[in-house]
Amino acid sequence: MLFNSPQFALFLLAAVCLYRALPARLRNPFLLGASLLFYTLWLPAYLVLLLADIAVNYALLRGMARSSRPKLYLVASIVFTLGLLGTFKYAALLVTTTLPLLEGLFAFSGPIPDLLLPLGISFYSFQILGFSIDTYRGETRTLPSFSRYALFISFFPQLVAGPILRGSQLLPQLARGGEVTPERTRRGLWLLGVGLAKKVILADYLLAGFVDLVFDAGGVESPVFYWVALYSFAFQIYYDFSGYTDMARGIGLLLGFELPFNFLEPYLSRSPSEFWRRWHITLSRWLADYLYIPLGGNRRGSVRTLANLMLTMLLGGLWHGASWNFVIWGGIHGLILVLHRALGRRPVDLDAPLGLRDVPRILVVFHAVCLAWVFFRAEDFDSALQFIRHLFVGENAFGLPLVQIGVVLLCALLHLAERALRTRLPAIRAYLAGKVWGDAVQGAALGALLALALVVSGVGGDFIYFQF
Amino acid sequence: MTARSQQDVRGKRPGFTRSRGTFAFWFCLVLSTLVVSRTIFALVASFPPQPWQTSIGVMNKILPGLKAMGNRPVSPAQVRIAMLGDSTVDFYPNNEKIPDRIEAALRASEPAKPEIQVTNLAFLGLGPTAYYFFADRIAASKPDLVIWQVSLTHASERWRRNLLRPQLAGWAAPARIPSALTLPLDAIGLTVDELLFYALIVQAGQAERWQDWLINLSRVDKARGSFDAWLSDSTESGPEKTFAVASALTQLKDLSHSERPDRYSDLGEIDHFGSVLEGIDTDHATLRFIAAAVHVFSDAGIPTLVYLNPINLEHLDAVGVLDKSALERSVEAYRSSVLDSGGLFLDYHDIFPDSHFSDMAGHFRRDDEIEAHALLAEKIAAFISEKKLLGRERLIREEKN
Repeated sequence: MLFNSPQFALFLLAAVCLYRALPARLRNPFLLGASLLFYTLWLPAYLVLLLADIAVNYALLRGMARSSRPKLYLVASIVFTLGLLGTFKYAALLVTTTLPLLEGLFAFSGPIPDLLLPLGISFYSFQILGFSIDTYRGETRTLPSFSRYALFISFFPQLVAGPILRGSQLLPQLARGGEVTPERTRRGLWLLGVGLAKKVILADYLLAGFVDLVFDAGGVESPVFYWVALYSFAFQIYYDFSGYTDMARGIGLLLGFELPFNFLEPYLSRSPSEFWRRWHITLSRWLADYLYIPLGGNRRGSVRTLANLMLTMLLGGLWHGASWNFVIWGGIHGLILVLHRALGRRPVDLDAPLGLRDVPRILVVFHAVCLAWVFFRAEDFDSALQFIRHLFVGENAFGLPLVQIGVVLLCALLHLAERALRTRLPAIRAYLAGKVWGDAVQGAALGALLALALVVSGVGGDFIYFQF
Repeated sequence: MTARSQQDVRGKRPGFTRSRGTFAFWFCLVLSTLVVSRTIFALVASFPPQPWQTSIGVMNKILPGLKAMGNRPVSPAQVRIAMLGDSTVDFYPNNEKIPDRIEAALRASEPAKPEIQVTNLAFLGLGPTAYYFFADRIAASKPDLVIWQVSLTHASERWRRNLLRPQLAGWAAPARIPSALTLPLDAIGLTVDELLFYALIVQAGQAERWQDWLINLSRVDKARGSFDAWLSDSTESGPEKTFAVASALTQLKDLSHSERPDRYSDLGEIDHFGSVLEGIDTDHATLRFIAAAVHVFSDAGIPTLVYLNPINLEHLDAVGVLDKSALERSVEAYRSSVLDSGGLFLDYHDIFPDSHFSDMAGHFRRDDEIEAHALLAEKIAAFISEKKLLGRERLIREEKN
């Protein structure tokens, strides 16, 4: 069930109304039921997989809490969770990669697994693993009940595409119960509206068509089209994914829960490391805390630090999908980070105000990120190389795609506006608070945004990050 | 005003303001949503909807056709035949469509049954999955015979994932939904929530309103295309000055296969036929839907004649994608699926040469020399007469009555 589908609107309306009508003690069980129903409505068979993942890991957590050798249970949790993830997500890649070798060496051949990827498996697997590691490290004071743990893993607003939550971010809120307030409801509706608009108006309506056709058609040697398509994809994936995250956070607020930020205007980053503190923040934090730092982080010399960085980014790339293109994408980002660190650059303060002097750095980082996106979006390695060649080789014989250039500039302006709005939002809220006309203006503005999103929603497609 | 009363006012005012503010927020939100969406639809209302859209075709044609067939009084002389299929059945002008041709041929060959009526329930884009969801409604209209055109192209992903599958799935009879869930819905790109949501809309009698909304959405899409076209027209003419997205994209598409005409593209054929070119078995999703639909008709005591539409084998061979043994395996899978479900099967996939086809989609040529669709209709009618399908099945039905 997509967040931008009418059936989800119906589901959400029913879920929020019933949730709010229920007494506090029944709210969490109801949310668990709603979350499992949400997952079942996609493909009932895979609910079993989700429940098995939750049940086995919970049993291991209980064992870990009681055992004198908790590491064994942690290893079992990691092996089981990654085993499921590997089977359903990476088995086909493994077989297609190794089969030619096996055929050559042993004349062995076998079928290529054709398993449907369970929705959100990458996200909930990382959430499960994160909690198991936190418990092993002693960061979880008391083990939650099974139903609360199951709700933490399957919480429907963020089940299929994040944000990837820590136990400390949601479990205390679940223990207290969702705090539904008028302020949270208002903020939730705004996030829902803005997220929907980002997804259906910007990502699907204005950007996806041009991106799909230029990336998929090929054969035109007009660099300007390729550059515009590349910028379009950069904004498409941002507005698609951040739109989803906004909606997830908005739904969380409607139910009385605060979910963390996942994006902070990433294309305004002044360095590669800053980009990763602004893009898919919860994944970056997960990779840093559970992979980069355990590998040694930057504590074991400069060479080891660079190797750790590279390995983290390669695995981060692989997390996105069972394709070597994603590994290459991660590798490019790893290389950029390694170069950045090797040059002695240090991370910048996220809240430092932007100035004109930052523009060159922002443009360099943005273009590096864009070039890496080619491998993320292209069908395969050869297509990616072809695309990059077309960026630089060919004649501009087809004029300029002015409309799409306008769309890209609009997206860039909105990106800047997001930053400005985010920093000024508390002041705006304070100014409007308690004014009836302010409430009316907010309602009218949100209504207009929702109407616009609804009107163009027919164009809509899947969220890009649902495939991961 | 006393200090006490001032305090009361101060004490009440924030709550009073908050409730007024909440009311203002929600009132303006709903009002603004309605006004803005209606304004947008009004602004672009001059653009026509897409009349060929499959779900609209279903509303305008299939449902009235079923109703008419169901309402027709039963008399011994009357035979009601339902014809199902895609655009290759419904492609020609009235009186020349395949159902009309079959009707005429049957009337000529069966003078004892002058009231043979073939109701055309075929429509562009309707494949096996759509007819599965309509099967109960078709059975409820009590035809004496169902003639169903299926094609080898229907097994391709492109067909399975028909864009309008959710809306069409909504027409499933409520009692059919549990058994529908046992079919490979994911293979046709349908999720459980879509099936339930659209079924709810149909059951709530809101299908027409929903269609109106979809038509409005298509108008918005047209508005964008029109804006692109306007921008294109307002610039200098000439291929190097096509500024608009739409025209630029058209160029891209054309150029990507510039080395050969559209019809003669192996990529196009592979897309069009999908896995049947490699050979499929009866567990293929499309065949499971065909078998399930034929089962519905068989269970209702309605004989079902399924014929496999002709395809252009010469053309497939010419573009180098034809593996005859693999294709035969696919044809056998179609045959087994139909026969095992209690239907009758006719394999016409290889009866016409290249000269009888007008495009890669399997539409037949229609000119003075060749009327392939007429030939096909005659063959079907001849088979029905030869096997005395109408007489035999009529007898069975009358005995049951």
